[in-house]
Amino acid sequence: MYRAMHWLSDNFHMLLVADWDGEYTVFQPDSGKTHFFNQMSMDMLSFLSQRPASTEEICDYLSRQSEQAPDKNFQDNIEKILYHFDALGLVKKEI
Amino acid sequence: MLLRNQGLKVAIGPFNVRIHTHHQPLIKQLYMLYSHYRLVQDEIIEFHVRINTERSIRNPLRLNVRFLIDGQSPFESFPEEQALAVLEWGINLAIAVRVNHLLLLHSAVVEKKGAAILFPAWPGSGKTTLCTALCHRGFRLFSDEFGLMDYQRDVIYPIPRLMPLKNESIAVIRKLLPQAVIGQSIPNTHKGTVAHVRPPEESMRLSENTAKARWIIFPKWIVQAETQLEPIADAEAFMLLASNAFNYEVLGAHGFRAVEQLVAQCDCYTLTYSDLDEVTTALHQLIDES
Repeated sequence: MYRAMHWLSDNFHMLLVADWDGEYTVFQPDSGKTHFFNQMSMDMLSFLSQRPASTEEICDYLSRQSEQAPDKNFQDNIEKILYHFDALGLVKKEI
Repeated sequence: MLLRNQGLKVAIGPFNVRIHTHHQPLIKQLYMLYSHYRLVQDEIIEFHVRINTERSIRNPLRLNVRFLIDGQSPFESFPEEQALAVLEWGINLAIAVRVNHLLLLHSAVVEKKGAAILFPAWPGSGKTTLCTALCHRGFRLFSDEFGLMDYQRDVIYPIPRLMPLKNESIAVIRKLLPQAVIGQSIPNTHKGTVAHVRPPEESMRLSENTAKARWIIFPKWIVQAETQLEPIADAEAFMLLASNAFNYEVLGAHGFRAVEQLVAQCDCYTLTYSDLDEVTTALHQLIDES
């Protein structure tokens, strides 16, 4: 039976997070890198730390959180961020 | 005599440095510019440095100087006229490369009313000139080059060193601060002409008194710019400060928490300026209003 690709966060619990009123600086011990995230990026990682989710589920959740329409443009942006996070080792794919 | 024999042992902020040289012109300059440093007796020396003279291979009639730390030479030799500049760069390099028990920011630091102001900036931002002006006008010099944060104690260490003015700023400071003690100009270095300012005596006398950081100000000298002090978002200040530290990545999670601690306790600004009188007034005002 076909199952869409799912995403999940990778070692979210290991990240050190500093919250600056809706902007975040995040230290990733695995890479030694520090990242700057907005609220939506942090919501995405936090959501994926709860359970694996498909791109559609992630878009649906984030569009409700940010009160934006989950149109094609929105979905494309979310997908870009997911692949970027994958390259950084912050999320991984589960097929 | 000290410099020639057992070496001149001085306390430079939290570090002790032993300097050896037989180069007479350098000895004369150090006699004038290092006169306020505390001499060290039976304490551990962190940095053993030496300025040796040698004949130039290309031109055997010419004398060069070479900087050595623990017997190793980290860079090439230089014309002997640059001996003081080479010694100062060498000590800075040793601190930048070897100090990893503190967060080491590339930053000028001054203190007023018990609180430290950090001016993190990369070379060319005018921080040495700004720092020279401020420490002769009511601020205590911590450093024109290093912000040394002890993140376990949450304090900034003073490390008052000679301040190397470059090019046009030498004439600017000579005119603005006739009371400043400035060494001879050293032309044709890889940074242009350099002249070193001796830290004010008061700053040297109090160089063991640490302070807590209260402001982080990212300065930029721009020709004919009006003085503008603009608040900056904490997250942006964090990223700027982290990218400015020499050893942020080496310290890992400690570095992250140290920068977080600094940004959380400080008001953060960007500063553009061209007039040293104006900027001094603006900073006094900032402190008085806080």
